[in-house]
Amino acid sequence: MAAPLLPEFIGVFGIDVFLVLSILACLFDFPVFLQYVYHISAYVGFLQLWIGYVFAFSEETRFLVCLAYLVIGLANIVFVNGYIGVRDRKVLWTTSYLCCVTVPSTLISFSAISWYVNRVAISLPSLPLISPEVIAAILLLCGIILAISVILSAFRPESHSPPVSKKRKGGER
Amino acid sequence: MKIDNDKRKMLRLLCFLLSALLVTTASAAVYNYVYLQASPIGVEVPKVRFVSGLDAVSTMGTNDTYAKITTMAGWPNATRVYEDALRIENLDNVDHTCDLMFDSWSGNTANVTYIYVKIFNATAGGTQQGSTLSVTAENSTGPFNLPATTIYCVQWEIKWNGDALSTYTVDVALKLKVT
Repeated sequence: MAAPLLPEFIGVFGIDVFLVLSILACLFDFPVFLQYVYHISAYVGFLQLWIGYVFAFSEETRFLVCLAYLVIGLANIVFVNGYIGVRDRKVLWTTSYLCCVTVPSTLISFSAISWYVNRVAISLPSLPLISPEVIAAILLLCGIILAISVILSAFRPESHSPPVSKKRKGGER
Repeated sequence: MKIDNDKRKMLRLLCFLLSALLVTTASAAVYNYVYLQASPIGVEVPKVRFVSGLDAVSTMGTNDTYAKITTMAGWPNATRVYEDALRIENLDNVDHTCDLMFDSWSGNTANVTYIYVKIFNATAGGTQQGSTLSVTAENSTGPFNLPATTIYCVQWEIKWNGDALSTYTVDVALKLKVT
């Protein structure tokens, strides 16, 4: 059944933006710290969704919070686009990122905000109900996976290249 | 423990993908909860209503979503046909699928040979919509399409047994399913 969107839709899209950012940051060899910052930002987005649901804030407040979160996500997408352009100086990568990530995510975001503001009825697929206990278990599992990831990242790779020997001046006779 | 850079990157990417999958599922579940919380049962204007036919007198309920035909009578050992006993009107701008179904009946039901209810798209020379509802068989017309802003006629065919007395009566209740 078609129904107007809720502000949480913008929040869910913001979470997806941060998750994509963390994966792309990993693929493009961004600093590990930044990859985790993006991934934890997605968790923060989920937490704000959950808090909004539990404490039943007003719709206006939830919309403003979700909007701010999505805008931060989009700003980071643009920042990453610029960073790739400046750091790698590869036109193909920058353009591909622009066309595949920056422009579509910006367009979808503006569309979602417009649909919400104008109360456009959108038909979404009906999802199965997951109990709050299962959601909590999923989050715990996420935490464990992230902890494993952090531990793996903490190991420093051992260098396999042979030690550089000092060349004697004048060479061997 | 020896893990080179590429392997570490792959493992980290795998963790991110797994975690992303789980977080997306959890956030969609929360959206679902919020959606269900924000979706109370509302009231809509009825899309289909009953209209009195020319061959019988009907009493209409509020919003014309209920109709009681009060002036029909059958003949013993002969079929009496009310071509335009009642009408069904689609007030909506879109088509609706309707199904006229048997609900219950009471009275001298053992003395009724048959009562057939048929839906036609016109009073005379119309085409039958769906199949014939038999009150004695307690079945339905089956689904039929009621186009936007269109009126269909409900035809009743009644036949009592030959030994039926003039004091005999039956009450028949039908229900209309609109989707």
